[in-house]
Amino acid sequence: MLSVNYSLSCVTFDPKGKILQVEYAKEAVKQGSTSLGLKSNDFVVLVSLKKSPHDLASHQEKVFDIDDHMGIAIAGLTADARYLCKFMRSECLNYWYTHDSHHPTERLIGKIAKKAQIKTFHPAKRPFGVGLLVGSVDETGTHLFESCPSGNYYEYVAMAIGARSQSAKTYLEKNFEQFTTLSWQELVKHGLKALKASAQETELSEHNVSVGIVGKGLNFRLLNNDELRASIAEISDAMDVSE
Amino acid sequence: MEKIVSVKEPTMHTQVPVNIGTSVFGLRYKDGIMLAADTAVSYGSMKKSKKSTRMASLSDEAAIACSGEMADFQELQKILKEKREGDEIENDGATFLKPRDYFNYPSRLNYQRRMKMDPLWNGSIVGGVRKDTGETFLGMVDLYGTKVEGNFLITGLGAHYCQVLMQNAWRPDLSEEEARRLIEDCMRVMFYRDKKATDEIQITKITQAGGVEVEKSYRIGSEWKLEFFKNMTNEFWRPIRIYQ
Repeated sequence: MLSVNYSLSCVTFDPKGKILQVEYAKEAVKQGSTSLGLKSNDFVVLVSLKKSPHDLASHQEKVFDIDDHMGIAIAGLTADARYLCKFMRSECLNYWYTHDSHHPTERLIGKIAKKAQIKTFHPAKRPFGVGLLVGSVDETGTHLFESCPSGNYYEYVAMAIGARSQSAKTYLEKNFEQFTTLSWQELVKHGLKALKASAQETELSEHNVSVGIVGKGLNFRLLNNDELRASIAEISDAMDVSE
Repeated sequence: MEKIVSVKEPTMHTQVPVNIGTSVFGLRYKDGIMLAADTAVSYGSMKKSKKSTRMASLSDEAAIACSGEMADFQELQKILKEKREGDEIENDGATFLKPRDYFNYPSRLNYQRRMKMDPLWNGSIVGGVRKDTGETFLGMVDLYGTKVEGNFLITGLGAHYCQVLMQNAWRPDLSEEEARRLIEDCMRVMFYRDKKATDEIQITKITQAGGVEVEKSYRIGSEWKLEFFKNMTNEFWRPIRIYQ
């Protein structure tokens, strides 16, 4: 049976029990450049490798500020990410307006998952082509969530998504046990090392890397160019010696 | 003949409050927060009920006391109860609604309803003590949605009669007994001066250790055989004495 018969919309399973459009959407996430996140007890760090469509173009931003306590890193279709980003921002703002407090993380992820799931069973819709890594701090501590085009979401201590993310995942798997007590500066270093593993021949620089940090008593922010340059220089020196 | 078209007006419930509860009090003391209200509900000048509860617990760390339209208080209670159930039904490891949330929500609700020209005709005091940090909260919301936070708060007529009494007697280290005595004094003043008040009061204590305790109502004594009442020395009564 030709797979094209089952792949035109989300309403038909293929004989293997898969919804091909959802599988393709997950593939779109894998096409995007690497994004990764890692957390300790007090901090969450999001790191992304940015691509530029052309030598003359600027790099496409991949880490977004949602609220004081929350940020996201994305891999996949940037346009879909910006739509979800806007949704998350307005939800956080509405929650803050009515409750005078920050939106609980998992409940917001639930809302995104609900939106994503609706797009997986409607004939006239396509799934989101973007994976989100959400780093956040709330009443229940630090959180790192991944949201998927399929409508699933997962919580992690460290995770990488996007192209060649396997190398970063391998690095994180090797090191995640020591993350719990680290400061955000040390988490950034681990994040950059993991990203370097995925970046392969691409040279990390302050232009093609984005780092977002958030923590208990620390509002979400992106590292500026000077901080990025310093952190990247630090890990490059360390890598030369140890590996 | 021209057809008469009925114009549908927007729904407006409380344009004038009907069943009214009078002033409520809230104050911080050493162990936490104390809320107080009397148990009277008036229908105009008539006491429709002398045994009504005008306060409610909102969660195991927050409570509300309400003056103004009692039907609207019941509506607010219903809304906040649903809010709490929604928070608990998520079952995600924590209750995210803290005393401050239970304060801010009615404030935004009151503002929205006032903008619809359909206000919830209440002055409410929300108090709470967080179980995890022990942080105390005391805030007041009026029917326009105005938020006021303070160490001692009074709504309604009590704000005019007892403000100074509270200012002079309140200290951050009031013991429970002292706080209760202060509230009873205020309530007695209100009983003497406010025709919609009664001498039966009810107190809610919120502490970090004990959570929310809505006490049974009890009567505070009153003394009418004072020289003040016998001689009618108050300037206000002088014209009336002419008839005696």
